[in-house]
Amino acid sequence: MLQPCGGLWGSATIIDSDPACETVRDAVYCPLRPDIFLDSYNGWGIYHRDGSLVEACGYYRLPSKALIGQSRHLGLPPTLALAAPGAYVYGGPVIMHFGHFLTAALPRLWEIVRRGLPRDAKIVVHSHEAPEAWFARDYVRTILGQLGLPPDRFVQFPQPTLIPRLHVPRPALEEQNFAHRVFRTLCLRIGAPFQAAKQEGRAIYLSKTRMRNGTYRLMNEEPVDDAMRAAGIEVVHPETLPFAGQVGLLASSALVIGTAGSAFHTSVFCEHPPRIVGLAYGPVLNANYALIDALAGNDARYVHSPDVTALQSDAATFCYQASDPAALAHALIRSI
Amino acid sequence: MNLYSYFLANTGRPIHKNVHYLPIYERHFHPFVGRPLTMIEIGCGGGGSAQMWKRYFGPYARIVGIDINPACRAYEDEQVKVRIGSQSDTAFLADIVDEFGAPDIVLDDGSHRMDDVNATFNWLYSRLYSGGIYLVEDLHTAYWDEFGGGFRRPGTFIERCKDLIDEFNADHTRGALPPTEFSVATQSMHIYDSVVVFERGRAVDKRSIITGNAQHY
Repeated sequence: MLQPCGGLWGSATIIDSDPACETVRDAVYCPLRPDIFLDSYNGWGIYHRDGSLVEACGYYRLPSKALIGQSRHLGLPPTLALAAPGAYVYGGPVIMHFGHFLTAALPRLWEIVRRGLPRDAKIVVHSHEAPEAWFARDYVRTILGQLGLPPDRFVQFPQPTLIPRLHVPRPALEEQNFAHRVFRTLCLRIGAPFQAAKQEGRAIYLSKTRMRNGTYRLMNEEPVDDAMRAAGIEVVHPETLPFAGQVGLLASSALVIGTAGSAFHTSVFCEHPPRIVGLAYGPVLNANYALIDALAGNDARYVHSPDVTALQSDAATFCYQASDPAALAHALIRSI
Repeated sequence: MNLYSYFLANTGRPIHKNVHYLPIYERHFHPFVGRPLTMIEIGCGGGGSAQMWKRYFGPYARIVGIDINPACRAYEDEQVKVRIGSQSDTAFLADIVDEFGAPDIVLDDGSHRMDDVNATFNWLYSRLYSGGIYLVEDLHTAYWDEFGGGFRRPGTFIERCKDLIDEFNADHTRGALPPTEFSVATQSMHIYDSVVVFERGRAVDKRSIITGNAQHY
């Protein structure tokens, strides 16, 4: 019933050196449009004065290193607002989904664990929400709080704005492509206060049955939960825990089982991560898992089942179902 | 002054070197002779090498020796300073750079353990002046278990250098590798038997262009 995943969707290159940094003179900030998701809007991004994209500021993902929204060249308005005097650092897009927050918003903050950010520098971001609204979420408040970044360190501009001098750290992780080791250092700094003693023999199953939405869902997961409980495996719902508790949960566990999801990414915050057995939604694994596993040094194994098939999906969730979820759970248990 | 001759004729404090290192030093260190410079030598040995560097580079050179053995303080003189600490202690290294400024030359002849060599390089290489030299020697230990080495063992400095060759060419990987702090600030890498040398600096213009009369192309 279960087969090992045999390839990666993307690549998982780990880079020892830190990312490069550069300074852009006369950078032009073009905001997101509130009514269009950033993937679908080509008018946002950071551009040179001639309208060409600042390549180091681009938000890329997918194995093709696709530019997400934005444009290679954008016609800029003849008049631009001018940013208030001060130091500015580019922070990239801030997307309010846990996985994307880790893989898109955090990766440009790595300088904090090297030389620190310039004092009083504002972090320029693209987001559909105001920083104060991000901080209503526990994981944002905790992660950025650990880095000493309150909401007022972040800035976005409502209209195209000229920034005379913008410091640009390249990202320490690019989804499905590469990660620099400093990203792990950054995550360990964040996770340091939340580590918990390893409980030998503690096995947990990360259930998505209480999630209201998620990128990938097994829609008939309840029998899997039941089978896990019957086998003495704790069934947990990580999204119901505060971020600190999620780190502690993984840190204290010897084995984590679950369907593939960003909850596995929390392992990158654990000094001693658990062994991972993940059920993927096909034979080819998203390289993001391999990137996080390589950074964290995870002992991870991913399997898939031909008995798990896709259902009609909505805009926010890719939906799957197992033909026999209890049998799937028993196969997972036998494989550990 | 010829370093090889000096080494062979040395009757002072002991110098322990593989003989083929001497021409490598000359090739990379020669531009610094007679100029003000700060050299950090990791591993003071018997104290003889610091005397060799002092005589080779001349009176404007400051040689900063790092060692874990407090007895090495005895090697200090008007041009040679010694600080006691671990080469992988970044706070210690930061103190050295605070005290003496960014180095022009780093010579890692320290523990030769892979974790130490990597940790020192990770922290110190980016602190080197543009135009400076970072030399790691005795890298045969990268193949020896007792130093954390091994043939093609992940994490050895030799394996790291293989990755750095890719990073060095990041601009040509068509996006497979992004530019890194290393790739944008390194002019060259030189691989010798047991020795790797990095020249730090920026390649400002890397265009591929043709000059001359196109009719003769």
